[in-house]
Amino acid sequence: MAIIEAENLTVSYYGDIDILKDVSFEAEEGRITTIIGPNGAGKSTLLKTLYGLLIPKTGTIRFRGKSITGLKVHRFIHTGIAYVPQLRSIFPDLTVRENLELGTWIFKKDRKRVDRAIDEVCERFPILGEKRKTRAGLLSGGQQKILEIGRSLLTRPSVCLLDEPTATLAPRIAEQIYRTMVDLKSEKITVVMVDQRVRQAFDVSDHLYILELGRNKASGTRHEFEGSLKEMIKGWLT
Amino acid sequence: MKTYRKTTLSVIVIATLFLAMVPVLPLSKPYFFYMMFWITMASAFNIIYGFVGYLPFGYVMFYGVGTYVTAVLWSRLGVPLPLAILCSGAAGLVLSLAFAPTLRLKGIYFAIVNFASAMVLRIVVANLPEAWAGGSFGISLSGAYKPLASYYLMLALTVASVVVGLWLSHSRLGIALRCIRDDEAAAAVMGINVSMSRLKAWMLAAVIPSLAGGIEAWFTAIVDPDTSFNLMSTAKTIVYAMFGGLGTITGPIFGAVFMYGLDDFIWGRFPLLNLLVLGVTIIFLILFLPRGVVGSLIQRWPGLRKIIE
Ligand SMILES: Nc1ncnc2c1ncn2[C@@H]1O[C@H](COP(=O)(O)OP(=O)(O)OP(=O)(O)O)[C@@H](O)[C@H]1O
Ligand SMILES: [Mg+2]
Repeated sequence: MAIIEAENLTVSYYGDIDILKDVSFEAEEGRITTIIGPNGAGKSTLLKTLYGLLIPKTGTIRFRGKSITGLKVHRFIHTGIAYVPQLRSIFPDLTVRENLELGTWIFKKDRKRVDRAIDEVCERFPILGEKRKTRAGLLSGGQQKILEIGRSLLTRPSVCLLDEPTATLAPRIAEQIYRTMVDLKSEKITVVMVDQRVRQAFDVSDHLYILELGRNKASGTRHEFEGSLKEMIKGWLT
Repeated sequence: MKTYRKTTLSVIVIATLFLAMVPVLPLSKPYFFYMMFWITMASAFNIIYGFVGYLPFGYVMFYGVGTYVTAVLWSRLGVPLPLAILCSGAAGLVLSLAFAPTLRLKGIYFAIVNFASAMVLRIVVANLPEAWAGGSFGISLSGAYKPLASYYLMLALTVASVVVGLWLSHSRLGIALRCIRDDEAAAAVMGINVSMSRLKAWMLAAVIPSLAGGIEAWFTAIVDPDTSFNLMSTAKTIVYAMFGGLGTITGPIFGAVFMYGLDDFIWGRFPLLNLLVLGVTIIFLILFLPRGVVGSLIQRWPGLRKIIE
């Protein structure tokens, strides 16, 4: 069953330049769904729209069957949807621990819940525990990404939207992040990600969506793409 | 209690005691009244500019409306002064809500719209029926002149606004505001209600100068549109707060005390020079001390954060 789905989205940043044109998308519960496409295809725009950062001109977005179109961004975390944007979203002047505490904002002053959530995430990513007193801006790129992903898991979301979680990372760290995705899947968490490492992303995904020039180009399960993927993406990979 | 809390609180207590003694000591009451007035203005301004990052160039309008509400209520309707001053605060809140939609504007657009609004408001007030608002001559409150009572009321407001600033910097609202200032989208993703947090800060930053306006109207016992909506008041507020250091609590206090003292000293001796000093200070600040005195000290010795904030 689709846990998050979007129908016929038309989205623009301003005016009548539509960046997404009639795009539809759905992610099945407990699966990994990956969106791929060339630079500028509108992948990030799609995730931003799913998360309420952009309001679609037309189309609807549903979460567990209920419309969430036009829901305010700060409400999403309450519904159980988490989002890690493509660009850096940590607070560089705050420590790792302080960044994690901000991720538990909606727990208010429930210290026990805050501490438990942070302990859990530090167990999953021990580096965050080791570096808790370090200013987040001083972490390496990979550690910052792990901090962002860890922070998004603090509220135990049921859906995680990850925009290029492995971009610009060393292969070994990318590997660790893919393993995390698989772990999340085994914990019944739905993962929606945008990724440029087509080969590796393909290997961990259950479903794939290909966007090109702001439109759906193709979609299907991994098995349906076996063999035809190379043909599909030829031309836009450098 | 943390060290800085203790230091700050003891400084506040000592300063309050001293200011409370001023009327019985051979010191100038108006001088210290206005010193408190500027501390209040600069501290309140710090809430919207230091914490939120919005620069209201027409900040004087909250003060101006405060002066007029108190003056009109007392002189035309016979409302007792303390009550009239509370109504000034309420008027500031209403005005801030009326301008809430402008918070959607960013940076210089917000500043310009706010600036223009203050000028419009000044013209409106100056052209209200003379029987009500006194036209360009203003309103006299000499029948209610009570310098001592209004002095102590200003002291109470000053202490309150400093305490509000301290509370804010450690409250969830303050944390939310700093996050929003640093990265609005990231803050929203974390579940922080960006527009509501900004609105709360805006209302706080508005109610304080409106109350200050009401109290000042009582202290001087005269209100006129040129003084009430004088753009120099915004300029002074900005410079005093910036001189000390925005985003800190002690900064605007230090800036107001020092710069007001300097301003008063120069104005007393070379009346025409004070504008020049203000202008030169702005240039000096922007070039050499963009974080203000306290802000630069903290930047230079981060350990200072433990004793001052
Ligand atoms: N904030 C913005 N304002 C205006 N246009 C934008 C904005 N962000 C993206 N665009 C435009 O929208 C289009 C799609 O951008 P988007 O970021 O969604 O692409 P993408 O598929 O994520 O690309 P990449 O792989 O490079 O991240 C691009 O043409 C881009 O120029
Ligand atoms: Mg992108």
